[in-house]
Amino acid sequence: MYTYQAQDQLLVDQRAAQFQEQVERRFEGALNEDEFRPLRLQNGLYQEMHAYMLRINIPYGTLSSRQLRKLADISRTFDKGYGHFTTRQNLQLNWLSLKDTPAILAELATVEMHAIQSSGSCIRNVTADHFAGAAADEIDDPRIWAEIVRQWSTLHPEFAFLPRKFKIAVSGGGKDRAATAVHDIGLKLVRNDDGQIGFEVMVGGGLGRTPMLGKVIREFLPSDHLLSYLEAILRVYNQLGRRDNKYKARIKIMVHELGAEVVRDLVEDEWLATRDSGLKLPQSEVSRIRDNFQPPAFEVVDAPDPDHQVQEPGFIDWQRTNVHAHKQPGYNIVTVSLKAFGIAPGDASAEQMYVLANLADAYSFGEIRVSHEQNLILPHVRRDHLPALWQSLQRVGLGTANAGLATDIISCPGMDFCTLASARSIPVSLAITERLDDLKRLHDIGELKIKISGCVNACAHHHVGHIGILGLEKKGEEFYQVTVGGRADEEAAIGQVVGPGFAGHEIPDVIENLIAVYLDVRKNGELFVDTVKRLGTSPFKESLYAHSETR
Amino acid sequence: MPILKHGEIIIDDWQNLADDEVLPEEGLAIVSLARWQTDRDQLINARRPLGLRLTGKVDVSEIAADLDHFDLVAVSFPGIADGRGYSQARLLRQRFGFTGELRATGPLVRDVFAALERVGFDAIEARDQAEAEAWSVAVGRITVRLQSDITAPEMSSFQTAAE
Amino acid sequence: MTARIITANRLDTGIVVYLNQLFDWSTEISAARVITEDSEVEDVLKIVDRAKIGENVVGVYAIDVDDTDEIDVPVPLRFRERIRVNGPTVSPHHVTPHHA
Ligand code: HEM
Ligand code: SF4
Repeated sequence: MYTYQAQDQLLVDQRAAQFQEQVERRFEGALNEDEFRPLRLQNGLYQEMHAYMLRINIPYGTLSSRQLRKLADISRTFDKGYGHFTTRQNLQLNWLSLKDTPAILAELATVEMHAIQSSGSCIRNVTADHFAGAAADEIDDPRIWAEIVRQWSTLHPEFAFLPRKFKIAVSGGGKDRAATAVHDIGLKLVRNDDGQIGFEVMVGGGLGRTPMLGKVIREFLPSDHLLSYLEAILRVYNQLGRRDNKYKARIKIMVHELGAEVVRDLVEDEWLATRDSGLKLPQSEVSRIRDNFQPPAFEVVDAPDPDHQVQEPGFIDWQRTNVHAHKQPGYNIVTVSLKAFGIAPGDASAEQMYVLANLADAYSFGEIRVSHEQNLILPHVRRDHLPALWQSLQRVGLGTANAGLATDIISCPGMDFCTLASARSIPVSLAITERLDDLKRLHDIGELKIKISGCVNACAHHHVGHIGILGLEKKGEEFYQVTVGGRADEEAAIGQVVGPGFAGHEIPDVIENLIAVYLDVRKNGELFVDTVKRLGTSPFKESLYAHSETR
Repeated sequence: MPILKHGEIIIDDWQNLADDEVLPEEGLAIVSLARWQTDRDQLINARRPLGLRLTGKVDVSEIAADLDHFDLVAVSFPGIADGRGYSQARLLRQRFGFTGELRATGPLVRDVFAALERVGFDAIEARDQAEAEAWSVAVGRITVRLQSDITAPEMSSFQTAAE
Repeated sequence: MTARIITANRLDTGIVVYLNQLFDWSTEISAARVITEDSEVEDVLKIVDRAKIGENVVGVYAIDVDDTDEIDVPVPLRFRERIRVNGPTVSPHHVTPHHA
C-alpha cells in the first residue's frame, strides 16, 4: 500500500485545519451558504435529507486494517455506528453534523485518509480494479498509476472548478472490473509491440440522464506521459466544457457535440505543447510509487485443497461465487458480500468493520479492498485458510454466498436519504432479495447484475446493469423504469428500456418474470445478458406486458 | 473592491473603460477585447499603458500575438464556481510568456487565493477588506504542492518540489 | 389553497426543522406554523429572511400539508416530505431507528 510521505501527511493535516476555519467562518456568518457550499463539497460534505453526509475517499478502493478500524471508530463516535460503501469506492456516513466534521477530517488524517474532492466540480476519487495486485490477468498494477493520478489531481490549482464533476478509472488491462467505459476518463493498461507499458485512453463516458460510453482517443499512451496527457484533456475540457446548463456540462456532452475526432485533435495539440515539460514522469518517481505496491510476502502453501476438508454445502456455494483466482499459487481473492438478506446494499456496521479488519490481519496481510459493486474484498487469502475465514465471516453476517448473483444488487441511497431522489431504491432492493432467497436457484441463474438508482443521476449505474431499475416520480407516486442488456465490463453496453414503468411492489414480479424468460430460452452456459444480446428485448417485453396491453 | 498585488493591498491606478467611453487623456485604462479589436490602431497610437479585460469565453491563443501591447491582463471570475480563468492564466503565463500584471477580477474570497497565485495571477480583486486582509493567513493554510505550477514550472516530478 | 408550512435543515446539525408560531425553528412538525393564505407564504419567507431567522438553517422552503386532520398535526402531501418527518423507511437491523 502507498505510505504517505511527510508532505502527503502535511497536506491532509493542513486541509483539515483549513476546513475547521471555513466552518467557523460559516457559523460566524462571514461566509454565506452559496460561498460555503463549494468549499464543503470539495471536502465531501453534503446536506442530505436528515443530516449532513460525508463522503470519505478510499483511493482506488485500497484500505488497510488500521484505516478500516478508524472508519469504524468514526462511525461509532460521530454517526450511528454504520457506513455505506459506494460504487465509487468511497464510504458515506449519513448522520453527521457540520460542527463535527473538522474533527472527523482530523481523525481521518491520522490514518492517511481524507475526503478532499470527493464531491464538487473537480477531479474525484480515482477508482481502479478492486483485484489490483492480485488478479492473474493484469498487465500492471493499476494502483501504481491511480496513486500517481491521485497525487497529481489532489488540490490541482487549475482544475478545482471544472464545468462538472470529473471521474477517472484505471483498469489493469485484463477483464475490466473498473467500469472504465462509463467514466469521464477511462484508462486501460496495455503493452505495445515493444513491450512498453502504456494506456489506452477513453474519454466521454458517463451515465446520468444521457448515458454514454467513452470513446478511445488514443490507443497507446506511453506511461511516462500519463500526467501530461491527462492535463491536456482537463485543460481542453475546463475551457470548452459547457457551463450554461448543468445537465450538459459533463465531458461526455462536449465529446458528443464536438465529436471524438475533434476532441482528440484538440487534446493532442495541447499535449504537443506540454508533453516534454515538467509533467513527464521521471522513472525514479514511478519506481518510488511502485515500491509501495510490492506484493506481500506470499508463502509456499503445501496443504490440501479446502474442498477436501470441508463438505458443508454453504461453504461450497460460497467458494463458487465469492472466491476468485489469484496470481499467486495457493492463494485466492475473497469477496465479502455486503448484500446480506435485509441489509441495505453496501452498508456495514462498525462491528462488522472491526471484525473484518481483524480477519484482514489474520488472513490477508492487513489489506482490504472496496469494490465498485459495493462489496469488500480480502485480496490475498491462503487457500487453506478459506474455511476458517468463511466461518468467521458467517458469524457476523458477512458470509453470504451471492457475489455476482442476482441478490448482489447495487443500490444508491435513494429517497430514504438523498435530497435529489425521485423514488426509493433500498426498499426495492430488499424486496428483490427477499423474493430471491433460494440460494440454489440463485446459483442456477448465475451471474446477474441488478442495479437500482433512485433518480436519473444514475449513482447505482443502472444503465449498465444486466437489469437496471430507475426510480422516477409521477404525480407524487414512485414508479420504476426497467432496462435490460446493459453491462459495464469490456463489452460495455447501455441497457434498453423494456417498456412502461412499474410500481415498486411489482418489481419483484418483474424480476421473476425476466428470469423465467431467461431460464426458458438460455443456451448452455449463457449469461442473462448474453441472452438479451442474442435475442434482443422482445421476448422479455412480450412476457412482461402480456397481460397488460392497456398499461 | 480592494486589489491585492503580491499579497499587499494596493491603491488601484487602473480604470476600467466601458466600450463607449473615450480614452481619457492620462491614467491607466483597461479595455475590453471587443474594444481592442475595433480600435486597435488608435489604442496603439495613443502610446499609453493599456490593460485588457478577458471573459472566460476567450481562447487566449487568439490574443497571444498582441500581448506585448499590454501591461495588464484582467481575467474575470463571474462566480467562485467558474474556473475557466485558471486555465487562461496558466496559458498566458506559461505558454505565451506574458510578464505584465495578471489580475483576477472577482469578487474573490480568500479560499481561492493560493490557487490563483499558483496558476500565475499576481493581482487579485478581493471581495472586501476582510478577505483582502486575510491574504497571508489564507495562502499559508496549505503549503504542499503535489503538482507543477507557475511557481515551479520546471519541477522535475510531481512531488519533488516540496521535498 | 392547500395549507403550507415552512421547513429547512439546521446549519449546525443538519436535522429537519419547521418554522413555529414564535418564528423559531422546531424539530417537531406538530409545532409548525400552518399558513393558509397564499400571500402569507411570501410574507413569512420575507420575515424569515429579513429578521435573519434563516441564519442558523439552510434551504428554507414551503411545503404543502394536509391540515384537516382531527389530531391537528400537519401531514406533508409529498412522500419525500413524509420521509423527512419520519426518517428513512428502511432501518438496517444493526442501526437504532432514527428519531428526528
Ligand atoms: C446521497 C447523496 C448523493 C448525491 C446527492 C449524489 C449526486 C449525484 C449527482 C447529481 C450525479 C449526476 C452527475 C451528473 O451526471 O452530472 C451523481 C452521479 C453519480 N453518483 Fe451520486 N450522489 C449521491 C450518492 C451516491 C452514492 C451513494 C453513490 C454510490 C453508490 C454514488 C455514485 C455515483 C456515480 C457512480 C455517479 C456517476 C454516474 C455518471 O457517470 O453519470 N452517488 N451523483
Ligand atoms: S441516483 Fe439519484 S437518488 Fe440515487 S443517490 Fe444518486 S442522486 Fe440520489
